Amino acid sequence: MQGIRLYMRFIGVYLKSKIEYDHIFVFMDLVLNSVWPVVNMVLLWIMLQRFGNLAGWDFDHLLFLYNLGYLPFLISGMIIWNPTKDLQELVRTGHFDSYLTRPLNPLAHLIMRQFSHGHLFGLVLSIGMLVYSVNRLDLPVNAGSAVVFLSIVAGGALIYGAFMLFCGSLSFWFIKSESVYELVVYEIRSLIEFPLPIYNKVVQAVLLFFVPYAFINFIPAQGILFPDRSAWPPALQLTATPILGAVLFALAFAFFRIGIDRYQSTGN
Amino acid sequence: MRLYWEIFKRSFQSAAAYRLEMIAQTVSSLFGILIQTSIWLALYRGNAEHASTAGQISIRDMLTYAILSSCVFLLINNQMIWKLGEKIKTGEIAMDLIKPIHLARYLFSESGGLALFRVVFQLLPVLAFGAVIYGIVPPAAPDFVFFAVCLLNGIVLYYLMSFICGLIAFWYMVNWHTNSLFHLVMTLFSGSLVPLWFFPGALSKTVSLLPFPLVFYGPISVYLGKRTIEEEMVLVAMQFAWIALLALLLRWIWGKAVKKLVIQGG
Repeated sequence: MQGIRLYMRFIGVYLKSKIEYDHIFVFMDLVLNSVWPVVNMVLLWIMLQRFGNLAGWDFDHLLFLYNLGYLPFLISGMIIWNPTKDLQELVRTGHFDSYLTRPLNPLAHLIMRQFSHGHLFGLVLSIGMLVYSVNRLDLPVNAGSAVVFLSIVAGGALIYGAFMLFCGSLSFWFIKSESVYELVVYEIRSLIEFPLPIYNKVVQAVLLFFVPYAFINFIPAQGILFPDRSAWPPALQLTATPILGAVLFALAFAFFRIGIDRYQSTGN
Repeated sequence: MRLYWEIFKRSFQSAAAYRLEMIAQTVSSLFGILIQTSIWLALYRGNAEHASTAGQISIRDMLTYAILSSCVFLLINNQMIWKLGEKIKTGEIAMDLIKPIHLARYLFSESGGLALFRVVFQLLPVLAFGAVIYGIVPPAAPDFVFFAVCLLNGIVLYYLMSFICGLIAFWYMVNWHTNSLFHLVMTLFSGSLVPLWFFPGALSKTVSLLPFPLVFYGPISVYLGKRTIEEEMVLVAMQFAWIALLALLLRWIWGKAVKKLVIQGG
């Protein structure tokens, strides 16, 4: 709890420092950081008005799928994207030293000293698109389904966060690991914007077992929209995401700890 | 001319220094092809053809379209908005103005060298990969001639548009905003992801008046033989018209920008 209060203080200071800038810049930051999903959805809509559906998913289903994959990405983006990306530079230059001398967990400090405000507006847009698709699809909205939904989003954010942390921690071993980060965090992620069955078996296997992003949106979305299409029991389709997220993030955090133990400063 | 050739060669050589970045870009375009082809295959659902505003489009046409679009992107992709933005921000542009060569032409030959490097080390591997895995429809000979002309014009057009956007940094300093906005418009209207023939009729007609589809959709649709010879001529004429218009616009903005720079004292 102490940590969360501290984080809120940090965010407050950060936002104050941003408001110092010209408002138009901050506004454009927010808009341009957030408008890409809308562009993607417009293009998808154009395709679907010609072809009807994609692997049995029509536009409203795909809107739900896309945003179920995007919302957790925004959340982990705000919290842990910058720290893990900066980690590479910090380790290379030796500035990581200062994080080891604070009376705070290094990861917690890394997280707290930044905040990605550009994603805030995207969050609003993404939630808006989700609400719209839930309405259109007539999905049941009650306390139970809300809890399930929130646990799926949290699990998804943990899965993304785990891979960001894992790839960032690679810099304790390798001087240059940006391209791995790019590949795992961006390129492979872009695959899950569409239903898993459109891909060949190799890609499907990667998304299920190696970088299991399919659990972030496809597995739970299928569990909610088409529970009969999978051989798995419906309950498992809905609970796999938070369980996997917790396990993966714990593993990534352990990996980060091992990395810190291995860290030898380059001096500064 | 020799001067430009030198710049061209230099930039080819300096591109070779960023090998890792080049590999990352190639991987990125392979992912693009993988996603695009998977989507089209799923949308066609085993049907050989689908109706569009340009007649029947076969799945083989669409796979070729996706691969060629990635290749065109590798050809035209430049960091012009960043490059100009940095020059303007740091004041380096003052040095460029002293040089006895026009900056626009200098940077054009520079990006030419970069493009040639990309052709050899990125485009050809990507094209080979696409051809082996998905197959590429070969064009008819006359179409191919028109395609080559259209493609070249498209490269010039894209260069002009990105240069003009880069100059915006004289008035608006946040490069990545301009860059993002430009790419957003390109993604929506150039037909790089979804060809205009699948757009709703009215939208397709409106968008095809803009310069953006002349970079991707124009050349590729010619390659695939989806246009009559008259339509191809109209397309090329439109490209020349836009090039002339944008070149004039560039001159005008450039004049204003340099004036502004002098006022600031450089």
